[in-house]
Amino acid sequence: MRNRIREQRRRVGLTQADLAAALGVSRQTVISIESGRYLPSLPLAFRIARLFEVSLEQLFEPNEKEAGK
Amino acid sequence: MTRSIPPRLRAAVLFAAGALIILAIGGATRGWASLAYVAPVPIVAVVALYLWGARDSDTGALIRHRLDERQEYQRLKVQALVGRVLSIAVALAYTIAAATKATLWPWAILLGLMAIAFVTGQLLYGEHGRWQANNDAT
Repeated sequence: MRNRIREQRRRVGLTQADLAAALGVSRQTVISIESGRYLPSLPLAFRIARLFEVSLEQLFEPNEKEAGK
Repeated sequence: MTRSIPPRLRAAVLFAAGALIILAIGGATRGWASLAYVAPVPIVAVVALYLWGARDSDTGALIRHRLDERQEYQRLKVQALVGRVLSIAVALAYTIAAATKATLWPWAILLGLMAIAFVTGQLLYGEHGRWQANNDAT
Protein backbone atom coordinates (compact mmCIF):
# COMPACT_ATOMS: atom_id res chain seq x y z
CA MET A 1 0.00 0.00 0.00
CA ARG A 2 1.45 3.33 -1.09
CA ASN A 3 0.50 6.56 0.63
CA ARG A 4 0.91 10.29 0.11
CA ILE A 5 1.05 11.29 3.76
CA ARG A 6 4.56 12.75 3.60
CA GLU A 7 3.57 14.77 0.56
CA GLN A 8 0.40 16.07 2.27
CA ARG A 9 2.26 16.82 5.49
CA ARG A 10 4.82 18.90 3.62
CA ARG A 11 2.02 20.65 1.69
CA VAL A 12 0.52 21.97 4.95
CA GLY A 13 3.94 22.64 6.50
CA LEU A 14 3.83 20.18 9.39
CA THR A 15 6.76 18.33 10.88
CA GLN A 16 6.46 14.64 11.73
CA ALA A 17 6.27 15.62 15.41
CA ASP A 18 3.46 18.13 14.67
CA LEU A 19 1.48 15.50 12.76
CA ALA A 20 2.04 12.95 15.53
CA ALA A 21 0.73 15.41 18.13
CA ALA A 22 -2.29 16.29 15.98
CA LEU A 23 -3.15 12.61 15.52
CA GLY A 24 -2.38 11.56 19.09
CA VAL A 25 0.24 8.99 18.07
CA SER A 26 4.00 8.77 18.47
CA ARG A 27 6.49 10.33 16.04
CA GLN A 28 7.81 6.81 15.37
CA THR A 29 4.35 5.77 14.19
CA VAL A 30 4.15 8.70 11.76
CA ILE A 31 7.58 7.71 10.40
CA SER A 32 6.44 4.07 10.04
CA ILE A 33 3.24 5.06 8.24
CA GLU A 34 4.99 7.47 5.88
CA SER A 35 7.60 4.89 4.96
CA GLY A 36 4.91 2.24 4.40
CA ARG A 37 6.18 -0.06 7.15
CA TYR A 38 2.92 0.25 9.11
CA LEU A 39 -0.59 0.36 7.73
CA PRO A 40 -2.79 2.50 10.02
CA SER A 41 -6.14 1.30 11.33
CA LEU A 42 -9.25 2.64 9.57
CA PRO A 43 -10.08 5.09 12.40
CA LEU A 44 -6.53 6.50 12.25
CA ALA A 45 -6.59 6.61 8.43
CA PHE A 46 -9.82 8.61 8.57
CA ARG A 47 -8.31 11.00 11.13
CA ILE A 48 -5.33 11.58 8.83
CA ALA A 49 -7.61 12.15 5.83
CA ARG A 50 -9.79 14.62 7.78
CA LEU A 51 -6.73 16.48 9.02
CA PHE A 52 -5.47 17.03 5.47
CA GLU A 53 -9.02 17.50 4.13
CA VAL A 54 -8.62 14.84 1.47
CA SER A 55 -10.33 11.51 0.77
CA LEU A 56 -8.86 8.16 1.77
CA GLU A 57 -8.36 7.37 -1.92
CA GLN A 58 -6.23 10.49 -2.28
CA LEU A 59 -4.06 9.37 0.64
CA PHE A 60 -3.77 5.63 0.15
CA GLU A 61 -3.31 3.68 -3.03
CA PRO A 62 -3.18 -0.11 -3.08
CA ASN A 63 -0.43 -1.63 -5.18
CA GLU A 64 -1.48 -3.84 -8.08
CA LYS A 65 -1.31 -7.08 -6.10
CA GLU A 66 -3.44 -5.68 -3.25
CA ALA A 67 -5.95 -4.20 -5.69
CA GLY A 68 -6.42 -7.67 -7.19
CA LYS A 69 -5.42 -6.68 -10.70
CA MET B 1 -2.20 7.30 44.51
CA THR B 2 -0.17 5.85 41.62
CA ARG B 3 -1.79 8.44 39.28
CA SER B 4 0.25 11.21 40.91
CA ILE B 5 3.54 9.40 40.19
CA PRO B 6 5.12 10.17 36.77
CA PRO B 7 4.58 7.13 34.49
CA ARG B 8 8.26 6.25 34.02
CA LEU B 9 8.88 6.51 37.76
CA ARG B 10 5.81 4.34 38.38
CA ALA B 11 7.25 1.57 36.19
CA ALA B 12 10.59 1.74 38.01
CA VAL B 13 8.90 1.79 41.45
CA LEU B 14 6.65 -1.19 40.60
CA PHE B 15 9.64 -3.14 39.28
CA ALA B 16 11.65 -2.24 42.41
CA ALA B 17 8.76 -3.36 44.66
CA GLY B 18 8.50 -6.70 42.81
CA ALA B 19 12.27 -7.19 42.95
CA LEU B 20 12.29 -6.40 46.69
CA ILE B 21 9.65 -9.06 47.37
CA ILE B 22 11.55 -11.68 45.34
CA LEU B 23 14.87 -10.71 46.99
CA ALA B 24 13.26 -10.86 50.45
CA ILE B 25 11.95 -14.38 49.77
CA GLY B 26 15.35 -15.40 48.39
CA GLY B 27 17.16 -13.84 51.36
CA ALA B 28 14.87 -15.50 53.91
CA THR B 29 15.20 -18.95 52.37
CA ARG B 30 18.80 -18.99 51.09
CA GLY B 31 20.49 -16.55 53.43
CA TRP B 32 20.95 -12.79 53.12
CA ALA B 33 24.60 -13.12 52.05
CA SER B 34 23.46 -14.74 48.78
CA LEU B 35 21.73 -11.47 47.84
CA ALA B 36 25.05 -9.69 47.39
CA TYR B 37 25.47 -11.44 44.02
CA VAL B 38 21.99 -10.80 42.62
CA ALA B 39 20.99 -7.46 44.19
CA PRO B 40 22.92 -5.32 41.64
CA VAL B 41 20.81 -6.79 38.80
CA PRO B 42 17.45 -5.27 39.88
CA ILE B 43 19.18 -2.01 40.86
CA VAL B 44 20.64 -1.67 37.36
CA ALA B 45 17.27 -2.69 35.88
CA VAL B 46 15.39 -0.02 37.87
CA VAL B 47 17.83 2.71 36.80
CA ALA B 48 17.65 1.49 33.17
CA LEU B 49 13.83 1.49 33.28
CA TYR B 50 13.79 5.05 34.60
CA LEU B 51 16.27 6.30 31.99
CA TRP B 52 14.70 4.40 29.07
CA GLY B 53 11.27 5.63 30.12
CA ALA B 54 12.33 9.19 29.27
CA ARG B 55 13.32 8.33 25.71
CA ASP B 56 11.26 9.28 22.69
CA SER B 57 11.13 5.68 21.49
CA ASP B 58 8.84 2.65 21.35
CA THR B 59 10.56 1.22 24.43
CA GLY B 60 10.10 4.52 26.29
CA ALA B 61 6.39 4.53 25.42
CA LEU B 62 6.08 0.93 26.59
CA ILE B 63 7.69 1.77 29.94
CA ARG B 64 5.45 4.84 30.35
CA HIS B 65 2.37 2.79 29.33
CA ARG B 66 1.58 5.38 26.65
CA LEU B 67 1.19 3.21 23.60
CA ASP B 68 -0.45 4.20 20.35
CA GLU B 69 -2.03 1.60 18.04
CA ARG B 70 1.20 0.59 16.28
CA GLN B 71 3.11 0.28 19.54
CA GLU B 72 0.22 -1.71 21.04
CA TYR B 73 0.31 -4.06 18.03
CA GLN B 74 4.09 -4.32 18.40
CA ARG B 75 3.69 -5.13 22.12
CA LEU B 76 1.17 -7.89 21.29
CA LYS B 77 3.56 -9.42 18.75
CA VAL B 78 6.41 -9.37 21.28
CA GLN B 79 4.14 -10.93 23.92
CA ALA B 80 3.07 -13.60 21.42
CA LEU B 81 6.73 -14.41 20.72
CA VAL B 82 7.48 -14.61 24.46
CA GLY B 83 4.43 -16.86 24.91
CA ARG B 84 5.52 -19.15 22.07
CA VAL B 85 9.08 -19.46 23.41
CA LEU B 86 7.82 -20.15 26.94
CA SER B 87 5.33 -22.76 25.65
CA ILE B 88 8.13 -24.64 23.88
CA ALA B 89 10.38 -24.29 26.95
CA VAL B 90 7.70 -25.68 29.29
CA ALA B 91 6.92 -28.57 26.94
CA LEU B 92 10.65 -29.36 26.72
CA ALA B 93 11.07 -29.08 30.49
CA TYR B 94 8.11 -31.46 31.02
CA THR B 95 9.59 -33.96 28.56
CA ILE B 96 13.02 -33.79 30.20
CA ALA B 97 11.49 -34.09 33.69
CA ALA B 98 9.49 -37.13 32.56
CA ALA B 99 12.55 -38.74 30.93
CA THR B 100 14.76 -38.18 34.00
CA LYS B 101 11.96 -39.10 36.46
CA ALA B 102 12.25 -35.69 38.09
CA THR B 103 9.35 -33.80 39.70
CA LEU B 104 6.64 -33.39 37.09
CA TRP B 105 3.84 -31.45 38.78
CA PRO B 106 5.24 -27.89 38.39
CA TRP B 107 5.56 -28.40 34.63
CA ALA B 108 2.17 -30.11 34.46
CA ILE B 109 0.58 -27.09 36.17
CA LEU B 110 2.25 -24.73 33.67
CA LEU B 111 1.06 -26.89 30.74
CA GLY B 112 -2.45 -26.84 32.20
CA LEU B 113 -2.31 -23.05 32.61
CA MET B 114 -1.25 -22.71 28.98
CA ALA B 115 -4.25 -24.76 27.87
CA ILE B 116 -6.61 -22.73 30.09
CA ALA B 117 -5.14 -19.46 28.77
CA PHE B 118 -5.63 -20.65 25.17
CA VAL B 119 -9.29 -21.56 25.76
CA THR B 120 -9.90 -18.30 27.67
CA GLY B 121 -8.29 -16.33 24.82
CA GLN B 122 -10.56 -18.03 22.28
CA LEU B 123 -13.63 -17.29 24.42
CA LEU B 124 -12.68 -13.63 24.92
CA TYR B 125 -11.28 -12.75 21.51
CA GLY B 126 -12.69 -15.45 19.19
CA GLU B 127 -15.53 -14.88 16.73
CA HIS B 128 -18.17 -14.95 19.49
CA GLY B 129 -15.96 -13.24 22.07
CA ARG B 130 -17.20 -10.19 23.90
CA TRP B 131 -14.25 -8.07 22.74
CA GLN B 132 -14.72 -8.83 19.06
CA ALA B 133 -17.29 -6.10 18.34
CA ASN B 134 -15.48 -3.40 20.25
CA ASN B 135 -12.01 -3.74 18.78
CA ASP B 136 -12.18 -0.36 17.05
CA ALA B 137 -12.89 1.43 20.30
CA THR B 138 -9.24 1.46 21.25
